[in-house]
Amino acid sequence: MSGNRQVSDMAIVGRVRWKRLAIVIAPAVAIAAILIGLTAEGAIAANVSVSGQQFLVTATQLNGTGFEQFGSDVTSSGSGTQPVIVSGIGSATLNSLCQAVKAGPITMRLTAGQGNTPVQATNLIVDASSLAGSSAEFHGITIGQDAGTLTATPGTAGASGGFGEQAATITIKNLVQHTWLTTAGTFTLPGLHLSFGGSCP
Amino acid sequence: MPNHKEPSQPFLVWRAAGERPGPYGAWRESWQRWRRTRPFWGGLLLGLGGIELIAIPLTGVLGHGAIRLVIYIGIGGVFGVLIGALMVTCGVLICVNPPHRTFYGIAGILLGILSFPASNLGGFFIGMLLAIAGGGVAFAWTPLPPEPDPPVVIGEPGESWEPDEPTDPGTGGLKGYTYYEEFQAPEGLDEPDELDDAEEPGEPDESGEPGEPEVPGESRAPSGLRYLGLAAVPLVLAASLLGAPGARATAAAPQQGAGSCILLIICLPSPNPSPTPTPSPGPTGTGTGPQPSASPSPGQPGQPGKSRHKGKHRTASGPDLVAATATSVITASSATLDAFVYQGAANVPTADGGTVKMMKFTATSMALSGDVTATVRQRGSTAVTTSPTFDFTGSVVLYATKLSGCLGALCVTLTPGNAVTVLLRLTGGLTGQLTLTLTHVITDQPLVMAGSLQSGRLSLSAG
Repeated sequence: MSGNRQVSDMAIVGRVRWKRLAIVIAPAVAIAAILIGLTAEGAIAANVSVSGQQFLVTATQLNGTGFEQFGSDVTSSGSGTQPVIVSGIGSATLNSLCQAVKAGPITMRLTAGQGNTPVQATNLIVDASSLAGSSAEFHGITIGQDAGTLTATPGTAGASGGFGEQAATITIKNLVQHTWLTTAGTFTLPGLHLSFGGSCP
Repeated sequence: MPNHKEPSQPFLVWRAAGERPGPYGAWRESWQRWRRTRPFWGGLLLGLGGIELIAIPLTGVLGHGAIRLVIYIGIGGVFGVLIGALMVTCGVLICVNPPHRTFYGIAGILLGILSFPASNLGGFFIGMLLAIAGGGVAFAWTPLPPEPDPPVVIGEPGESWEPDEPTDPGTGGLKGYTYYEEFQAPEGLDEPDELDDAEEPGEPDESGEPGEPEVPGESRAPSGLRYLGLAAVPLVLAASLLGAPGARATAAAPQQGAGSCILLIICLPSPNPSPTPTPSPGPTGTGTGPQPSASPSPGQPGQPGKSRHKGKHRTASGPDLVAATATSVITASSATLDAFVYQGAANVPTADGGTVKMMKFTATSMALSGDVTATVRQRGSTAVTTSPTFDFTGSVVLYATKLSGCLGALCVTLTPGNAVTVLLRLTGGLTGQLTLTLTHVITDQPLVMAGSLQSGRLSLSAG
């Protein structure tokens, strides 16, 4: 590398050749557009992992298998340590998902799964400061188990000694969550729509 | 970082003769020179895109500590962070090692495209667009041909120079300027008449300049053929990329276990003794009804564990269930219990290796109503769950350290081993036939297992 420094490329001033730029940008943009289109069709699963500020997640219905929940806390730059309720769902479908993220002055709103095809997520983990639903149904539930021994969502468990619960299946209607962190191994987002401004219903 | 950009002088850094550089001026000039001798803006954009991709998943998580981070984000999130890190690396290398800018530029573009499915939709498009733009600019950056520099090598540094030919078409001469010795052209010293062609700033070097026969022009792209090849690379790679997620989507459900297994190996010591983490591997999917779950709850309906549980319930120990030690209370205005039977005291293990003595009850159903509140306190924070109704059905098993409630006017508090529980134990056959309704129910350290739980309007909050 130090050899290269001596030769022409390092010493010679250059400039951007716009034709060359177009040749490489055009296929890249085309492929990106195809990917975006396929993702909006729900054909490609995206990977979502957001944290850092509180944001709102709503869905008209959440169905999940392999559910667990426990208490924990996150450290945020703004308000110090914040207790959260951690929910992990091994495999989930969400109808009419809406997620509003506030990034500085801009609110970004992501909606998907509005039609008949719901959003599908695997290994969905949500740190929420509050969670509400108009009704909920759990099957095969255990409440009060040690949070360190939860097994419903593999790879996720709370601190040993903490209070945890888990269920084989879960259904929550009209879910509203204020979350600090959302992450999912895969997220298929049929009918993906990203807009700026506005919030979730 | 000063972003000043001078409009003229496409390839030479001039300085007016009268303007003697102060220390700041020298710094500024060397910075400009450094910037112009490499695809700086491409690298910068690519690096910014990478930082944006990293920032989205990591900003608020760093407080979790590294291990928790890995657990939380999972292998997919690691990919997202990895893509951002690779983009930053490419951006830095583009600036540090410009001869390889083509490779790093295309790699940056591919990473940008890949970040769309892999990392928060390409950092909500921003990181992806920055990477494509930055990689493209780095790829398109070309050193100007070295031939057209004859004036540079004519004099000595610092020497004022009086041109007798119009060598600089832009400024109409070089009078009053000094120049840097760095920008010496190795060849073509004595062809000043070629300058007019070569110095055109907007002229692409492949656009048929007939001159410079003496220099083959290694920096000149030969023809569109090579461009086509370069353009095909992202296409081919993206085609394979498109093929892969399709397979991934179809294999999503079974893959879930496998991916987490990797995670388990990496970061979880698997505290439970029976590591069979396969929630619903069957074809039932999200169907209702009790599923073959990996939960160690012994009292689930339709499971072989139930009969085993019944066989040893007189000894009454929580078989392979670990009770939480955090302080927890469930209160309700009333509880309706079907076939409520006290099964005796049980020593339920806790995570610290000890056991806690709890009462064990069974019921076929347990309906809590009237401001059902579950309060959990741990490590200084409180989580409260409220709902108007909690209906447990299907082989309800309840462990508690203390249970109090009123049966009509008679209010009792049950703890393991007190007189009332002894009485309850004796009359277990009787209460098993009844439907009891308790009011003002308070359950300490509850550990509930049930086939299903139906809740009304549910609200959880942490504070």
